[in-house]
Amino acid sequence: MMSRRVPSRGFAAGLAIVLAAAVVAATTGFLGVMPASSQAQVVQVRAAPSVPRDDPFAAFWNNVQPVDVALSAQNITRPMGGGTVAAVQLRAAHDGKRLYILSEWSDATQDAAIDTTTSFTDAAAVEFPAAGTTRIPSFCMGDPGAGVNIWHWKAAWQRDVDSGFATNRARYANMQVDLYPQDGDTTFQTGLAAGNPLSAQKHGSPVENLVAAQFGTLTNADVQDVGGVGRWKDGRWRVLFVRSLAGAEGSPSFAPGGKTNAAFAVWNGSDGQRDGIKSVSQFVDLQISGEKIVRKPSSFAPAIIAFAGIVGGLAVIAVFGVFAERRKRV
Amino acid sequence: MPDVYNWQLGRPMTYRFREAHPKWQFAAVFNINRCIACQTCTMACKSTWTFSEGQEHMWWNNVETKPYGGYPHHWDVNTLKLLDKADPGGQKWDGRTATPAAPYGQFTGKTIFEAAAALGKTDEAIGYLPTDDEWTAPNIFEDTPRNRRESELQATSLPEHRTWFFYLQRICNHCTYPACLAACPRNAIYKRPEDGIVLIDEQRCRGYRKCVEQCPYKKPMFRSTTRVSEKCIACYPRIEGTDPISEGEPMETRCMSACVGKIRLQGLIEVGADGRWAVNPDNPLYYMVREEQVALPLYPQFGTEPNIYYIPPRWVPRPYLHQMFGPGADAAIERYAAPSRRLQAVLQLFRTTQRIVHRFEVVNGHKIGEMNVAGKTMELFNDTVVGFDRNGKEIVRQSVMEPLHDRGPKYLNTI
Amino acid sequence: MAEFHKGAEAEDPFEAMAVFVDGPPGYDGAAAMARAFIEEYAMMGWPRERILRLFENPRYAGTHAVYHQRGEAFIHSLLDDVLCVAPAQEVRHA
Repeated sequence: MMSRRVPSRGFAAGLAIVLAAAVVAATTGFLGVMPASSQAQVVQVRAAPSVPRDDPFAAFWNNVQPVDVALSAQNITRPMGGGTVAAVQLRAAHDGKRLYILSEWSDATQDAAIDTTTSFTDAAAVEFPAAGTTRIPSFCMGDPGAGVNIWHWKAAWQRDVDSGFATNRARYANMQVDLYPQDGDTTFQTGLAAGNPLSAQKHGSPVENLVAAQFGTLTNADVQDVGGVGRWKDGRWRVLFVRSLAGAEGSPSFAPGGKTNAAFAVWNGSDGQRDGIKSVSQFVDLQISGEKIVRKPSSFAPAIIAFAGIVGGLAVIAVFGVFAERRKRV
Repeated sequence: MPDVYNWQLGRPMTYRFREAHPKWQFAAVFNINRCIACQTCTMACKSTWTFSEGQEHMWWNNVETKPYGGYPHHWDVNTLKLLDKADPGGQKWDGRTATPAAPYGQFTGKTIFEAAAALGKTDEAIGYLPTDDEWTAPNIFEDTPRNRRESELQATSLPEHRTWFFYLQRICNHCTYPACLAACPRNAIYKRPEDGIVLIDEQRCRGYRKCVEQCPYKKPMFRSTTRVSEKCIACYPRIEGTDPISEGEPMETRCMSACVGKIRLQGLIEVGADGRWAVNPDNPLYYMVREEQVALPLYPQFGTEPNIYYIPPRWVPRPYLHQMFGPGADAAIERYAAPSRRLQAVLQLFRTTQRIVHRFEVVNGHKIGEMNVAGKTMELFNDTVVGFDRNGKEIVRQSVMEPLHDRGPKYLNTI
Repeated sequence: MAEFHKGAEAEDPFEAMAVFVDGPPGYDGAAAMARAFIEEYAMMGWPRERILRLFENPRYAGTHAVYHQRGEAFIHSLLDDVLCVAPAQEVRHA
């Protein structure tokens, strides 16, 4: 990608090309954004011998070319809203057994508590066509003829997994209660007694596996086999979704050489975002290949190349200048 | 969006769903004039349904002191303000003569649903989520009224209230057109076809709190220990007669049957497919709400067609009552203050049995006295009211003048 | 102390808590409430003496407040006005 051909005429042309080359090197090297059009965006899922499962900020992900997928407000059904996050940056990989999807976006606040009437959790989701669909479902929660499978990560569940289920008792530590009659009898923890997965105090994973076939039909799936982890650092969330490539019965399966649609969404809890109030993408293509992820050289390399390009360019200009000066004198 | 007919507004209005009605509707009459705010109803409810962790702030039944109190704080003022913003100065009734289909005339302002559309909101109804602070201290401000005859700098101290006030008893209104139900994006809230009770499906709720936000009466509440919302369930096992003590017969809710002040009467109203109440002047609720019209819906202008009806307090300045109960307040007070013999007898039915009274009869008694009400002489008769259950079986018999058992000073404060 | 009187201000957080809510001109809240209490009990057939006791006894805070502020004569005048022919209730002594 670096241009080694240095123009032999014209100071301006020389400088422009050198700077352009430097800029391209710097942006592709530092930000690593693959320019992709808004339609038919492709996220490549390449293979790696092993993928770290516990740390979404692991250096491994520097080897994977990210793709920016634009998000917008949900304006199709009530409640509408969101659109506060412009894009998610996606990376994906597989290790021959499991699919890994890393979603990253910026969020100034970490909202992981659901301990008051007005607190909502940050969240992220990935949506796929459900198993056995013969056509592409509506990316808006699927449709009656073609359902969707949704993996929904919640910051609150992440906190439950990491440090235990927290309620308003944590926030109001000095709250005085004489006694709770029938304490310990889950009959009176109504949501829990009704078997509502949202009321569960222990989760095997911070990611909930769901199915839907229209607005308002979102339902917890029979099999909860999606793992993952989300971490917030310096104003950015990175959430890693992990599931075996071969899905359980009723779940979509993935295989190298295959392609699937995937849509993405994020919620900002402190903006009161939940349900349809979200920033959401359209379907992109997830291309699963046998091709290996190439480990990149040191992350300083592009900088060095860019620096060399600039120095080289300036040297050429200097030589050109000196040469021109000499010609004048002649 | 389809139009539904709201008889309390005397006109059709927009609602998310097509008009459909239950066979019977849970309903009650609360007589504000007799409430002493003992909160026995509140505690009966609390000790039955909301005594567990995560429900500390929940009072499905509460009694607040108007005009200052509110649970959650200022719930009604906040909603009225939102309505005023959507329809400045326009929240009015047309003053038309009452008809059976429009007993209070016609409301020409905007309901919470219409206000949302007027403000360009993408929600079903206007609303807001009360903060945790607002859910605490359900009786705060009840003792702060002050009279301007005194120093404005000195707060009123107990036990004296020096300005008008009254107690407002509140449970879920099990509305005909519930805003909570319309607001739920998951359709996890439903109105039962058999008795019109509005319930949250605790298994399907995902804790989005759109119901908490859009119920104008603020009766769905969020629970942090289960991360889903809960609401008044109208003690449905008692209404169904499936509670063991009900012996298979419909029974009043806990808050109703615990009422010390005898201010509550609850039952089931038969509703036709068109939403009209089946004409039944011998049903005590039908009689008070539709015949005598002494009991009125709370904030009918919200547009949800609430099913708890209030006999307005007759000492309260009328503009306040018009805002709270609509234009029917004047006639209701006039009829209640000088009640007919029949109404006087029906008022004696309140809190005489836990069973739901489906029909009543009045047996005339002798004259016991005379009263002067608003310059007119009213005769008092010791009539007897007889209540029957749904099978026509007599379940209660009560005269206007109840026998009085006097403990005498010797036994004061002894149990 | 009219100079201290403050009208309702929509943005005042205390607006709905401690501002006097006016009635119509000449409206006497205490008298209206006391009269309503008398009427309620009279309708249930209570005799005059028993109703008076509700005002005299400080344990009945609401009614006693009016008695305390306006005096016994005021309560008697209300009773006189409401009860043309007071019922004579049957009392069973425990």
